[in-house]
Amino acid sequence: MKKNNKIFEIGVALVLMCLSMYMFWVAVTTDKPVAKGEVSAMAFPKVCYLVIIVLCAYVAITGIIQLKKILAVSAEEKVPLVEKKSVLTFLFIVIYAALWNVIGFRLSTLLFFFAESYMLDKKRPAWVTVLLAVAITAVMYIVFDVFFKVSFPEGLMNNILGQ
Amino acid sequence: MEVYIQGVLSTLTDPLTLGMVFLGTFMGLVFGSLPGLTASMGIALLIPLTFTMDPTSALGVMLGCYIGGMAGGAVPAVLLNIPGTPSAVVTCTDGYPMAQQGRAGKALGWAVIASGFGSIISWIVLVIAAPSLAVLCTSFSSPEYAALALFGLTIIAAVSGKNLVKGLIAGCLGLVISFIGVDPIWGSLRFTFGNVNMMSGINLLPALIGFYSIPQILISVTEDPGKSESRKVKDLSLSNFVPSPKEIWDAKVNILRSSIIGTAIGIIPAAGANIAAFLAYDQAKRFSKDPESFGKGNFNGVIASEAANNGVCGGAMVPLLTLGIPGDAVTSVLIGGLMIQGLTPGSLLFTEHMDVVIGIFTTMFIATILMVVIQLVGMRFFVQILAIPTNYLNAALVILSLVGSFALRKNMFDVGITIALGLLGYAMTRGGFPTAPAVLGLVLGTMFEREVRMSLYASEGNWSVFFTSPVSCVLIVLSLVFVVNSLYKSWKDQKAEKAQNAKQD
Repeated sequence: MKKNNKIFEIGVALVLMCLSMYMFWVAVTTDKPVAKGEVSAMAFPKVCYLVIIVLCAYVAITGIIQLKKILAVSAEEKVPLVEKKSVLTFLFIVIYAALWNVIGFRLSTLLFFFAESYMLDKKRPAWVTVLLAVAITAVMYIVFDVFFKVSFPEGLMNNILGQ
Repeated sequence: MEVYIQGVLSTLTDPLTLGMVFLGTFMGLVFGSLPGLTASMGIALLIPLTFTMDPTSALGVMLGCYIGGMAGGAVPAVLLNIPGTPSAVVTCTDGYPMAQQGRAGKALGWAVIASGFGSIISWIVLVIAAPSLAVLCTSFSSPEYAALALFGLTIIAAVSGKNLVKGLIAGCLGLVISFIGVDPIWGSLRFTFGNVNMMSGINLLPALIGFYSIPQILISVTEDPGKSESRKVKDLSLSNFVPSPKEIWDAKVNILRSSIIGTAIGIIPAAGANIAAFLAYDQAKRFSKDPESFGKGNFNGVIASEAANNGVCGGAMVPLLTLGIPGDAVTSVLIGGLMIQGLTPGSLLFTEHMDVVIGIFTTMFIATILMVVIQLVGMRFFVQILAIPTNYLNAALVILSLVGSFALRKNMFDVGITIALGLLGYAMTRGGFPTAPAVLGLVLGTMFEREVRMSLYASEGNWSVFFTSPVSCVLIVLSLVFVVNSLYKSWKDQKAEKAQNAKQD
């Protein structure tokens, strides 16, 4: 577990460092000269990106040294870096959001609730999950769409219903 | 005096007004407890209902929603580690660990009591000293705002947990996210990459849901599905939730200090409840005899956050009623509600419509009492959230999170931002990077940059502008003291940890 967290620490530091380097370059190349006494639009972002780059480099280097020590000392049990349920949940979230514009909010909410609940715990009776999926979708639709007038994307549902 | 007593009695004996205040407070609590829905949205929705009401009832329902909305954010913050409102971010820090230790009821009890005290103390300040305090909100110009934002940013150290470096990275990340969009001084575009949606910047709410809600869901899906049974709060008696008078008395200094911080920040226009909660938490930690326990389930953290964010309510009413200046997003909507009633906020309100002012003061007090009563009665139902099977709860939370991020601007881009920051937030949480500093940076970034640049522009690049006003000078000196103190503490902790590790080897 300690090893996995260290990998995440190094990974986040490296990703943020690379992103910040790119953004720093964008800030430098798009910055415009200003009159004496004024602060340019990119001055603050440049300082912040520099701080992130330096601190992330420090975290990544110390993290790699510590990871080497962890690997040398302990023979940890093989635990996956990210649990399967977390990966699947994230994938379901992305697909669910993408489906809003394709099959509409209501149908995608119904499908997502059923699929996610079933994936997380297959022992619960499927009919209960289906009933809950219908109930949750109905509540969301009534509260947000009907009452609060949040018009969700309806995608193909609009064509099917001929609206 | 007779006019005052008559005004108070007529409000207290009017069933319609009392009913409206109850409705507003209840709606506010519901809005506050749902991530993505805010008190300002609730008030905006209620305004059409108030057209035909008398001014006192109309303002009562809106003020109830304001006070309820501010307090309701603590419920999901404590139970699910998902703040219902941006100002409840700080409540998560200690509220959720308390819930994990089986003290969810106690954490909610403290949140309710602290919210109540915060509201009452700020209400007292509003009633007694509103006109004289109005001077304070006009005395703040760019250098003072810049110094206040700098002071706020020093709190990164307090919410960074064990690792100050990671906290600083997260804080800077929040700052750079806040820089996306239109440059606040020249209007040029920054880091938008030609995307129209990026022009208005990254909205706080989708970012907040991304940093808090999605990572929490991705972590909790790996929990054993049967865990919800073990988390059930079995003894649902009120004595189990509500802190005893002795406990409240022992926490009096923290309650009072946090409420005053909330009130003071509320008076300063555009500072907001988020800053108040962070500042109060920082001070509670600094003055605590046991600062190490903060972030691990110390109820004083919950008290500080909740007393401060509800203290803002009364404070924000000071510039609104006396000068017609809205202090935050909610009071901006409230000012609209006042104008619809044909009332113009400002000094004339106190001379020409004293009956309405008395009505406002009375309904604010009633709303506070109702907020406490509704929460205390409803608490036994709130904690049942913990008993919902985790598979259903997580699926419902995902839906609510995405709907919440979409509902604000009805924009799929915000949903994308929530998901992207959710993934980043998950990786950060797993890697030991705190997310609270990122939110703090996001909240204060724009204000800090805009005010520093405005000050320098006005003074033609003269940095001494920050030291000419006593308020900004004091705030900058305090910021420096806190930064040096935090660095020293961090260095000392690391030294102690190294010594301990060497001993173990």
